[in-house]
Amino acid sequence: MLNSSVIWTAFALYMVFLLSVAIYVTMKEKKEKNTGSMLKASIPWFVLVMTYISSLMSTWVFFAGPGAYYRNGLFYWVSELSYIALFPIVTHFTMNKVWVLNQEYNGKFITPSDFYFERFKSPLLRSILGFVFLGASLPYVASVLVAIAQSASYATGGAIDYKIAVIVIGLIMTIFVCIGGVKSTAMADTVQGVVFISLLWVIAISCLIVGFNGSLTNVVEKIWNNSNSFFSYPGSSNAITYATRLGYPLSCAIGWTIMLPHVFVRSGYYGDNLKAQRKLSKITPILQVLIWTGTMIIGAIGLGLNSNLGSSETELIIPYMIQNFIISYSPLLAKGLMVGFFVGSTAVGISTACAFLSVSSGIVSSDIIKNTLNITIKERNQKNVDRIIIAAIGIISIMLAINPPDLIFTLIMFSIAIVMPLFPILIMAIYWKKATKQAAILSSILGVIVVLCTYFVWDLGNTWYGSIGMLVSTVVMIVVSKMTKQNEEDSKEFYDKLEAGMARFYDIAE
Amino acid sequence: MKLLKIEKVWLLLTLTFYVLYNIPGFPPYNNTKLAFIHAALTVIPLWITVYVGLGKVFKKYKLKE
Repeated sequence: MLNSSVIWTAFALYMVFLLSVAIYVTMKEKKEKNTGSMLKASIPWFVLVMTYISSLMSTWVFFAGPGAYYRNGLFYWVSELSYIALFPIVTHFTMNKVWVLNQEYNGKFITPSDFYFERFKSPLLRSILGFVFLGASLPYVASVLVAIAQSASYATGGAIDYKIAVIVIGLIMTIFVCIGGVKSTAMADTVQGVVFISLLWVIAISCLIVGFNGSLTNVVEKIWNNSNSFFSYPGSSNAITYATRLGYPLSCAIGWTIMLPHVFVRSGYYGDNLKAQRKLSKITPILQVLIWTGTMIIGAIGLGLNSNLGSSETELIIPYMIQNFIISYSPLLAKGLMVGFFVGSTAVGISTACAFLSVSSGIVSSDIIKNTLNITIKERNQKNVDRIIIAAIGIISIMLAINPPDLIFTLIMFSIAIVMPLFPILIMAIYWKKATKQAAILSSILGVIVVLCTYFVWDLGNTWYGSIGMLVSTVVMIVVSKMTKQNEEDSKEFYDKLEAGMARFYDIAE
Repeated sequence: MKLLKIEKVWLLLTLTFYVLYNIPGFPPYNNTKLAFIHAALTVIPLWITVYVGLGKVFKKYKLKE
């Protein structure tokens, strides 16, 4: 539908935009004489909120998202509302405490494992967590490259070769993060967030106008008459069962929005003050509702226009509607929306991939090279070492995306599931002084094994994700902590700093 | 770490509505009317609880400059 030159121009403009941000941030850092790690950041509330939301959302918003609502119905969206609401309460009890502690440790935390280490003082636990978090990151970066390259190929009717697109996008992303690090990623996310949310709604409203004269009531009436199961459990595809209604949102509430490493560092480390942290807690659920509602409306309009699409066609419902309905209304609008589809999915995808790329580089640099292999890097060499690691991970992701495994998109949900068992350890690290490192080690290992079994032995992954692993991890954490002992001196500094930090930042009215 | 009373109430109410939303068997499958009633009685109060509670807890945890 689109000429390949349009897509190449979009790529070029994107490259210029990202490089400008990276160069601007680097120059600013030099001016302010910031010579520390490029994998840490301290950012104001608006940038914090936008980098969180942009890195959280992946290409799923433009691809599988609308299709999932098409197949699963309105109550799939309602089940998502049930977890989105939990974010403020989860961040209050966990991530804001993590933030306070990071401040008391002079902002030295780079990876999620750094937090766990300060509480349990176990190098083995840090290494295990480092590998788990890294394992969760790589499939994500690769899957985003796959999705953007597919959208470029689809938008041009195959004129752009998939492999070339993967290489170009992968290089853009890697060079960008290499030059600018975490801060430039956060800055670019702010713009990319505004771009993709706006384009999502432009697509939704355009489809509504063309398909149903701009009337949402007409969409509802059509679906009510033709596909009534859209308005009840378990949805048209029988997928939203009572079990899925619990398992899926729980995995999103814990695994997706808190424990994946790129959002963990954003919600726990990056705010420049507690006001920024609080705004993150308050505003991001509202932005999530805005995004998922737009995605749901697109899925509903697609269902209203054609209720007989196959599962794979629904995955590409946006380009389907553009090519089959909007084009007859206005070819120009159709071309514009196809560019919007491509740019929107690129914006949301690249922001996620860059966030994962930077945090996984931190994990390799800090958790694995420095703290597992005990290799000391001089401070003046740190930035170059970080850049080499970013480049290496970027290249590995490109290679993975060129010949992706069949399960690449399943691996995204698996990534979310695999970090869920680490959440109970986080809670008990903060609130239970008797929690021991032996329990944390066993809990993380057994929790991850149970998640693997949930997927590959019991075949319950698509219903329960990491919930069973998280339950096992909770029980193991409690039982083993009761059975073992750890020297209280190991956690004394952690709790002293937590107490001091709470007194430093809060005036608590009893 | 000790929790304030308001935090405990907030946590308890949020969990209550989350559990109510997830009670297996309700609403019955393919029942549109009850699906909407169920959502209105659980998900809406869940959101209200979280945000009203958030405001109250933030008032107790005043930020120092």
